[in-house]
Parts: sequence; C-alpha cells; structure tokens
Amino acid sequence: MNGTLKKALELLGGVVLGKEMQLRLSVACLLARGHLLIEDIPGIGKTTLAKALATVLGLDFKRVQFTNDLLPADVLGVSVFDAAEASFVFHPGPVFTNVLLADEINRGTPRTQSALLEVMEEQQVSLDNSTRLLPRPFFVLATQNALDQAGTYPLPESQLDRFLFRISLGYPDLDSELELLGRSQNAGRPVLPEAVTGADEILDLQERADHVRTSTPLLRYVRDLLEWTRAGGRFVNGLSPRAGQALVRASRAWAFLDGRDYVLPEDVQAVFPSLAVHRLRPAGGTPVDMGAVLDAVPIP
Amino acid sequence: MIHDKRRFSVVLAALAVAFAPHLMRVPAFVAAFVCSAWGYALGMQYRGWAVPPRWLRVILALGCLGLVFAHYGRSFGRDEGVALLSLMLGLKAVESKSVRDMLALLFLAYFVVVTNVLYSQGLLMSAYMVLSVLAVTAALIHLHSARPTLAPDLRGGAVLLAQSLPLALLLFVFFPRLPGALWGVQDDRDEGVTGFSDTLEPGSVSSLSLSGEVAFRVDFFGPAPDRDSLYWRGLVLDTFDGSKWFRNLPFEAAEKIADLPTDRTEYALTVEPHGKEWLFALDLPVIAPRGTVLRSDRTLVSLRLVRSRMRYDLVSAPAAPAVEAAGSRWTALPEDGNPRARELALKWRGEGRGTRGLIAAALDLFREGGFVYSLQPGAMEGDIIDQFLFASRQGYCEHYASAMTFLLRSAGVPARVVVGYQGGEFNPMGQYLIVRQSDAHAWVEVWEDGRWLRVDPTSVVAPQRLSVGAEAVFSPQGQGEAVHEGLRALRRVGRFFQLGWDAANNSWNQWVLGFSHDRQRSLWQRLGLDPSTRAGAGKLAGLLALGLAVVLGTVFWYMLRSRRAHTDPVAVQYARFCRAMERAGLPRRPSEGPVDYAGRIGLERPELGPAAREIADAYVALRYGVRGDMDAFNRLVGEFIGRKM
Repeated sequence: MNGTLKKALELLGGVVLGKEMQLRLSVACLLARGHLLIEDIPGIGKTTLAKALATVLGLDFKRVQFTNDLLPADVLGVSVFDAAEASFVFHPGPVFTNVLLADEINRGTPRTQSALLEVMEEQQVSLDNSTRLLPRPFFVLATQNALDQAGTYPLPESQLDRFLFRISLGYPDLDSELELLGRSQNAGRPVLPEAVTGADEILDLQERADHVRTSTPLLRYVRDLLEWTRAGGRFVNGLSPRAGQALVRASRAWAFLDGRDYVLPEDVQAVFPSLAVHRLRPAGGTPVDMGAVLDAVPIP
Repeated sequence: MIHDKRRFSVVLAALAVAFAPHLMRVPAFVAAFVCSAWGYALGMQYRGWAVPPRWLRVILALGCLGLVFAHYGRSFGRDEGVALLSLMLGLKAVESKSVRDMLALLFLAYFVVVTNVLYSQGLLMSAYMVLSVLAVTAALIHLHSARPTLAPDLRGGAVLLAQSLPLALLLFVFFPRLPGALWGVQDDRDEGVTGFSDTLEPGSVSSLSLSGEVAFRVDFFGPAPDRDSLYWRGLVLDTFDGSKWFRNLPFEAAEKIADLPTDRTEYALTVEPHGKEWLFALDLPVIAPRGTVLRSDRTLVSLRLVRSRMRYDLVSAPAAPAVEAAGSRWTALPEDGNPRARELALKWRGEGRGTRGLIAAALDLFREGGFVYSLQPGAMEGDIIDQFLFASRQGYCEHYASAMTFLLRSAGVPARVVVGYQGGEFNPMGQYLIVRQSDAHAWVEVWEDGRWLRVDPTSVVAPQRLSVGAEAVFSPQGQGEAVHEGLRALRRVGRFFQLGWDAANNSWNQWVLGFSHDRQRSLWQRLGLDPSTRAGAGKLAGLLALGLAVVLGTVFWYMLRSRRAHTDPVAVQYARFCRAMERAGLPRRPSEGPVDYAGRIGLERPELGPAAREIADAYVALRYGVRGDMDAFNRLVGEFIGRKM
C-alpha cells in the first residue's frame, strides 16, 4: 500500500475506533473523486470521522448544518456591495474548502440541497455571471438521520446518485466502546493527529488510482453485476451506466488502497454494497441484501 | 512479426512431415519446386527477402498448372492431382504473411496427408499418417498458443487425436461403406503386382522363386493339412504349342455339389492383388464363394480382376468329383517337334504299361536319369522338351511338369499342367499360413480311374522342395554351408521380427482394410440391424439419428459451456484447480473471488493454504493483472493437482 495512505489509515483508526472498513471506504471514496453519504443516528462519530479525515490528509475542513431555512447562498457564498470599493465583492461560502461536512443534509430544503449537489457534480460555483472553481480535491461528506423523518426532505434518487458511497457507521464494538468511554482528556474528544500529507499529494494519488488496470474479465464481471440488477424486476430501477462507471472507478481506488495496480473481483465486491445500496430501491419494498446480489452473480 | 518466424518454421516443419511420403512419388520438378519454394519462404521470414509480387505469383501458379498438364498429358487422375496439390503447397508458403495464410497451409497439409491413402493403405503408411496428423495438429495448436516450447502443443495434439478416436471408431464401423474401392482411382492401375501369367514357359515360375513377396495368406478353420499336401491350384493349362503351355479351355462352370464331402478342409484365403482374374484354392475346391466362379477344371476365377486384397472362404476336398477328360483336348500335342521324347513315350507304351506304369516310368527317369533341380538351367530353344530330357537335365519345376505332361500325352494318357503354389510358411504369431511368390510351383495332373491324379515330378528330383520350401532349398544354409552360430541366431531373430511384422500386417489387412461393404453388412445383420429388412433399417436409422443427436448435443453443450468461461487458457487452468478443490470437498462458490477462495482454503485446510495462495496470486496476475507467467501458473496447478492425487 502507498505509505502515505497507510499512515493516514492508521492514524484515522486511532481516532474512529473499530471502523476500519468504513475508514477505508471513506478514503477510497476520496481517491475515486466521489462524495460520501453517511446515514446514521446522531452521536455516532460522523463529524469526528470527517474532521479526522480532513486533518490527517492535510485538507481544509468546513461544516454546514442543514436546516429548513438554510439558503443556497449560505452554502455557496454571496456577493455583497462594498461601498468603499463601489463594487460587488464575493464572499465565498463554506463550500469553498477541500472537505465539506454537510450535516443532516435531508433537513435542508430541496432548493439548497440541489445547489449543493450541483456544485458536487461540477466542482465549481456559478453565481452572478461568473464561475468560481472550488479547491481541489473537493470532497463532500453528507450525513442524514435515517430515523428522524419529520420535517425532512429526503434526497431524490437522482441526487442520491451523486454520492459514490452510502455507508453507516453503526455502534462501536465492545472493545472500542470501552476504550472510548475511558477517554477522559479533552472532554471525551479525541486529540486530532497531525497531517501526513496535503492536497497536492492527494491529487496525485487520485491520478494514480485512475490508472489501475481493469482487465476484460473483470469488466465483464461488472457488466454481469449491472445486468443482474436490471433483469428480473427485483428493483424499481437497475444500476445506471453512470453507476457502472462509478463502480469501476471505486474498484480502482479500492485496489489502489490495497497496493495493487490491477482490480480484482474482490475489489468490486468490497465496494459494491456501499455503492449500490442507495441506488437500488427494491421493487417489493422488502430490503434486498447487497451481499445477496453479489452471491447471485458468478465471477466469469 | 518477430515471433511469427518461429511459428512459421513450425508450420513448415509440419508441412514437411505431411509431404515427405510424396517426395519420391511426384515428378522431380515438382519436388524441386516445393523444396525451393519453402526455402524461399524461410528466407522471407529470416532474411527479410521480398514477397514475390502478385504478377509473379500468378505467373508461377499458371506455369505450374501448365507444367503439370504438359508432364501428364490430358488425363487427370491421382498423380496429376497430387502433383498439383504439392505445387500449391509450395506456392502458398511463398505468399504466406498472416496467421490466416498459415492456417490455410495447415488445412492444406491435412488434405495432403489424406492423399497418401491413394498410394498405400498399409500399416506403416497408416502409422505415418497418424504421425503426420499429429504434427499438423500440434502446429495448428502452436499457431494459436505461441508458446516458447513445442512439447505442450504436441501433447495437446495427441490428446485431441485420442479424443477423436472413439468417434473415428464409431464412424469406421457404422459409416455406410460403398461396395468396391472408395478410391476409384486405385482401380485403373496395377503397379508392382507379381504373379503368374496364364502361360507356362521355361523360366516363368523360376523367376517368381526369387521374390519374397506374399502371394496370399490362409486361415484354417480347423487342423491344417500336412505340408506336402498343400497344393494351391491356380490355373490348369491344357494346350502346348511346342514352346509354352497355355489355357485354351472354353469357359464352363462346374456343376454344383449337393452335399459337402466329409473329408474336407475349410479355410479363408486372403489374396494379394495380382491384377488377373484367377484365384487359388487347395486341391480341390468344392464351392465357389461370392463373386467367384468355379470352372469345370476346378479352378476358381473371380468375376472382377483382383486389384485389391480379397478375402474369400473356401471348402476343399480331395474327393471332389471331376469332369470326364473327354475328347482329344487332354492328349493333344503339336504335330511335330521333340521327336526323342515322343519316341521314348511310345517305347514305354509299347512295353504295355498302364497309366500308373507310365507315371512310374517318367518318375523313375527323373529320379535316376541324373536330373538336377536348378533355378538357372540355361536358355533352351527349339525342341525344348528333348533338350531338357536328354541334354541339359537341369530344370525347375516347370521343366519337369512340362516334360512329364508331354511324355504322358505322347503316350496317349490325358494329362495337364497345373500351376499354383506349394506349401507355405506357418506364422505361429498370427496362426496363419503365408504363401509367398517363392512358393510358386507347377505340377501335373493325370486322368486315371475317373479322376485327375496329382503327380509332382519335382518331388522325386528335389524331395526337400516339398518339405521345406523353395526358399530354403536355394538359400545358403539349405546348401549345408557352415554358418556361424551367432549369425544363425541373428537370422532367427530377424525371422522372428519378419513373422511378427507379417502378423501385424495381416491383422491390419483383415480387420481394418478388409472391413468391406459386405463385412459391414454382416456385422449389422448380426446386431439385428439388417438394412434390407424394414425393421432393421428403421432401427439402424434410429440408431444413427440417436448417435448424431448425442454427438451434436455434446458439441452444443460444450460450445455453450465454453462460451462463458473456458475460452481463456488461464481460466481453463484455474477451473482445473477449482475442480481439484471441489473433489477435495471445498468447492469454490461461483461468486467467490480467487483471493477470497484461497483465503477460505487456507482457513479450512491450512496445509493447502500456501499452495492455494500461490496459485491465486499467479492466477490474478494473469487474468486481472498486467504481467503474469503462464508457464509458472501451469506448473503450480500441475504440481498442486499432482500432489493432491
């Protein structure tokens, strides 16, 4: 594995306890130039994860708490008339950062949600006839509370597609819990580690992850997976071609994290559940385990 | 292009193997053209010689066509076809650039291999043809595998051939055969056949004596008769014109016999092609097998000229009835010539001897008159009987038979010359009798007491001729020379191999080449599939349809199966590993990745873990990675399977 990433994952593991898989997925998501949706109850460590990730990777971090009165300008920024200069001056919103934590995104109005999701896709802000590029890398971690549905605007499927992965953190295991409880210093908050890298290296790593090889048999496997989600009416919609491309990109990042220059079916299987879970809506309403999808499709 | 050199050399080597038997058969200019064309093609690959321009290739092709027609004239048959095929083999090599061209060459090579059967269907040639097919198939595999070594491709070819064997056997037994030779071209030639002609003159039998070629082989369906009664009658010669005996008897079939005599010998005779119509049978044939006629002189003739090996079942009995020697035919002699012999015969007759007495007198003359049994009696002209009887006194069996018949006829006793074979060599390895051209013989039949009595004058001159055969009489050790003991042992070993080889050839002839239309029919009948009855034909058709369905079904199944995973050699090899693990009770789930699977193997069967891990690594590197070592992977899987078994 790449030394920087290994170190980063180690450090992150010391902050978010017992969540190696989720940490890996988060880093892979960043490497694949994707955005991450974390669905969980409050107080499980979502903010900690986002902050730690930004800090360890040496990236800027900003946070937006979504509420139903949050306006797009609150996220993107606003032009204010400066009397002294006699011109409009742009005040960048929190979106101008490397890592943006969009907390409880489903509490925001559809209008604000759309504004953010558009920016996530385009990596630029278009306001007042001018286009402003966001810093790179740009990585959004959005959280939503799955249980508390009152007064929320669930993200439409078309917009869920903008998130590469959707993960849940879940409760820590017993040992981690114990260690967590034992942390007394700093009012129970973890001490954030030092940065091990910076934006430039992350960009370079993203570039390298793009060149991980995907052989024809592997692409055939991905195709078979996509095909399986579309056939047989198991889901309202199957995975889209864009989702397929995202799957390949994510698999590459996963393989790169593993230190390989080629993708294995195992890589695809590792990222598939997180990638497909928010994109596939079961036709009958009964949830379908993504592991069952993997089990049903033989590796060619 | 760089590895194409090697592939092309392999293809050319396979072509050479396929073409080699034709090298001596085609005209010299064809052989020279093919060799130089191949040489140039190699030069193209290794020295970068230019591909001949299109117009030159067209001219060459037309020129070859013209040369073949100029050489052979206007007829077009086997030799012309093969010559043309050979020329094209050379031309195609010169214009070969792509893999497609090499494929065309190899398929052409298969065709060239097949043309060998137009010349020889013997055991040796068949073995060579199998070898050629193996070589061409291996080259075909090599063309696709492009492996650095040939051994796996050869092995692959052998496996392929072995797999095709059951189907070939099935087709051999059940594919409908045409009556007669399939290769019509074979029928219009009789090359290299030796045997009798229908005239007997001094030298006609002795010239055969030097040939070790097989005349026919005999399987006895019971105890074989004694060696000295093994007289294989071929032709009865009834007319003498002063210099030679020939057959002049009008064709007349013998009457059929109601009951077979009790004292009979049953056997099957397989005659080598000799291009004539007569067949051979032991004294005296009583029934005519299918396709033959029994003449009134109790000789067998075939309805077709014997141009291919022919097997027929025979029954012979010494006591078969004979046709009365009526008329003057059997005592007729030329008006004049050989006065001294006539005088001697009349003198014997004047002494009041009966037929028996005359025979005894003639035999006594041969026994006591200083006669010598010789292969080179020297040339004789004019009154050849007189010269032989009173001057040279040296001769081979034809001289004795001819002279004795002349004497008896001069004395007014009906007599005739019979030519055929005497004796034969029993092959203990195949339990059959080999009769060679060197066993050719001539003897006399005399009419006495209502039947033709066989008299062999040679028996009194050279008794050992009948007990050991002519070959032994005239070979060095037969003349009692002191032969070194080691040399004799060596000769015995040689003899052993000769007999073994003949036995193998005989089995090949009987079971493979001899599997004719008739034998196929009789096999079907024995299986209850007689195509001439309605039920049998229906059953046969049903069986054939079923067989076809099974074969096609299998092919389709394989095609369907292989469409998914088994086209890639890497996948095939990995599937072998998975099957081995499945037998070990740890099957791979279809959706289980190779690394996960190896991990699970390591958990459940720790002793197999490291090897499985190695195989998985080699596999993913080959199938998903950038670089991989196919040979190492093959070796790993091979070792794994070998160790587990």
